[in-house]
Amino acid sequence: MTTATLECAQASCPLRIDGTCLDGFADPTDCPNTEEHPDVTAADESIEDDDDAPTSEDESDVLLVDEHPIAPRPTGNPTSYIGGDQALSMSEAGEITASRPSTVVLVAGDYGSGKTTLVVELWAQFLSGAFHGWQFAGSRTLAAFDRRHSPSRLSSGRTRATTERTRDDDMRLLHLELASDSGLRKSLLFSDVKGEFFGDLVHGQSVTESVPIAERADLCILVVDGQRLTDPAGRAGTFWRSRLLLGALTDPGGLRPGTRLLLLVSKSDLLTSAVRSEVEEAIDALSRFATERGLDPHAVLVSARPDDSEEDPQGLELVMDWVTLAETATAPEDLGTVAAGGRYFWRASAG
Amino acid sequence: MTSSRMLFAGVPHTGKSSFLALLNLGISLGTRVSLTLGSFSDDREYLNTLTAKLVSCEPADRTHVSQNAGLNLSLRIADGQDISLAIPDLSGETWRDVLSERVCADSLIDDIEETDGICIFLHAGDFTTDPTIADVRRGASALGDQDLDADQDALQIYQDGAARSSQIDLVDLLQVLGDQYAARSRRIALVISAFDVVRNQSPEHWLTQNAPLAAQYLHSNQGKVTARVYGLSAQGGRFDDKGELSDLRKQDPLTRAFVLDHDGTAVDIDAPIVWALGIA
Repeated sequence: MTTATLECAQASCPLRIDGTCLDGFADPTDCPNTEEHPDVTAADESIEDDDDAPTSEDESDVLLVDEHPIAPRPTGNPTSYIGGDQALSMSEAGEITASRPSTVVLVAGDYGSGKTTLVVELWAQFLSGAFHGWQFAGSRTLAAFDRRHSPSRLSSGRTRATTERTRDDDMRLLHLELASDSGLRKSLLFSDVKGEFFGDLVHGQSVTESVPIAERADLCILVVDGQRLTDPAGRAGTFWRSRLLLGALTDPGGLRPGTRLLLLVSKSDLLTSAVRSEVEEAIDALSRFATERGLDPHAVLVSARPDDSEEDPQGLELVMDWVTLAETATAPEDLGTVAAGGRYFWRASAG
Repeated sequence: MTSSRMLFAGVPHTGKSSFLALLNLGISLGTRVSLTLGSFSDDREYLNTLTAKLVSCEPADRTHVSQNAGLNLSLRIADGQDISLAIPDLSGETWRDVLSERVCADSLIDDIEETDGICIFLHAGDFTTDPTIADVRRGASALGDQDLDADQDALQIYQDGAARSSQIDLVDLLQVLGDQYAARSRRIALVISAFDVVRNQSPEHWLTQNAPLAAQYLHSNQGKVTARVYGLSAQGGRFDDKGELSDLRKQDPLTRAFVLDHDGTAVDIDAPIVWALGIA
């Protein structure tokens, strides 16, 4: 098990001495200047592995504990953790939102619905070149993306692609920075939250307790598992759960009124044309409910990593359009660091 | 005399030591370089060992993590100014460990922050792309092989989970060296070694074709990371190919070696470090 030490970047902070925060935060972990550093004696957590993935997009195939594997440090030779292999904590993500205009995207959905696959496949489009008018401009979680993507690559030794599923017990985010030819930049922070948290919402847990990141989200993608929509019973159950989830997400302390919502049906390659029309009707009903709850909904059918892997992904361009056209501020390339007035999205006053 | 410090970075077998050997040879002889030797009294034993192997067409010894050697020479640059240039020969394992273990020696971080210029090395003949399973399936299907599930040999050429795409390593290094620990702006020369295996492509075109993620990153961060791509062949060809080796032995070591600028123009052997240090 990995433990961590909280450290402050400010030399004059008394945190190390008496545990108090120089900036007055009652909980020092809320302070933007503090950072958790993993304990040097931490051991690796295992990655469970299961070859019986029902579909190529299913996230249940590999369990990933997103704590970086730290090698024992040689004595007498101090080392520092360089990061990049873990999804960001809310505090770390706050450093990004404070330094540049950023879009925080809550990716919500049931266990195994395809949330991580969606985000990882968006990133993976850039591995072979510019995608839909955007170029890769950096990532604070490059190695974390790479690890999640690795079970879909030849080096995994697998014959069918899959995605590692995160098992973190807190809110985490993956960072992707993009640049357009016209000089616009987009800093995107996608939530990487395990499905069980959203299951808790369906069962009545408070959004502020289960998914506190919801209140800070600029955009929300609600992933509806297309594989569960192929028969009428599964369809009814899935849309019922989606409605409950949407309701919980829009309770006080959750998504803010006016937030743009993308109702995304994943694994759409598994839907026949007859089923598709019924799915579209159900999505329309869910859209109307979202509007009643104060959101601004759009809908899209996506096949991020088709089960018949000879097919190309479908719908990712639409997702990219929707995410990058969101009404969030963009910045010129030479933005630099915004020292004051930055948006610390974990603060209650943020917005 | 001013001091300049360069950092050579790259995973194992990317040609860092061979380039040091070639530099030592060129600078010692004053041939195909713009830098000249300011003093002959520097300690060059380690460098000369590397260079002797290059001259006699023997592969360079692997640099070990514990070794603390490299180039440390008194030089005179084109405008007559004397500089002391230090380039430690860090082992490729050092960099591979940084990327895989995600920890970096604080002393190396200090070096990164204090360096005046950086060369990142990649190997044109050993640049792994790690394709997706879908890509392989599409390729197999195009060749008429429909039963890929049964074709385990085709899918298990790597050890399980052991490989990382070379372009991910490259972007990782670019972010760590050019942004994360870049206390100030400095130049990064991307040196593509073994460029003799590349046909009819400029170094810049090769990078775009083979490492599109890195090419996008550099294009998108021109205001932050100043980089230039070079093609290098320190050996002039393969020492492990008997036929090629026979031809290479008949050539002068400085004639068979070459360095290409980003657009494919032949340049001096020391051009990458001269540009990265901004002393052209």
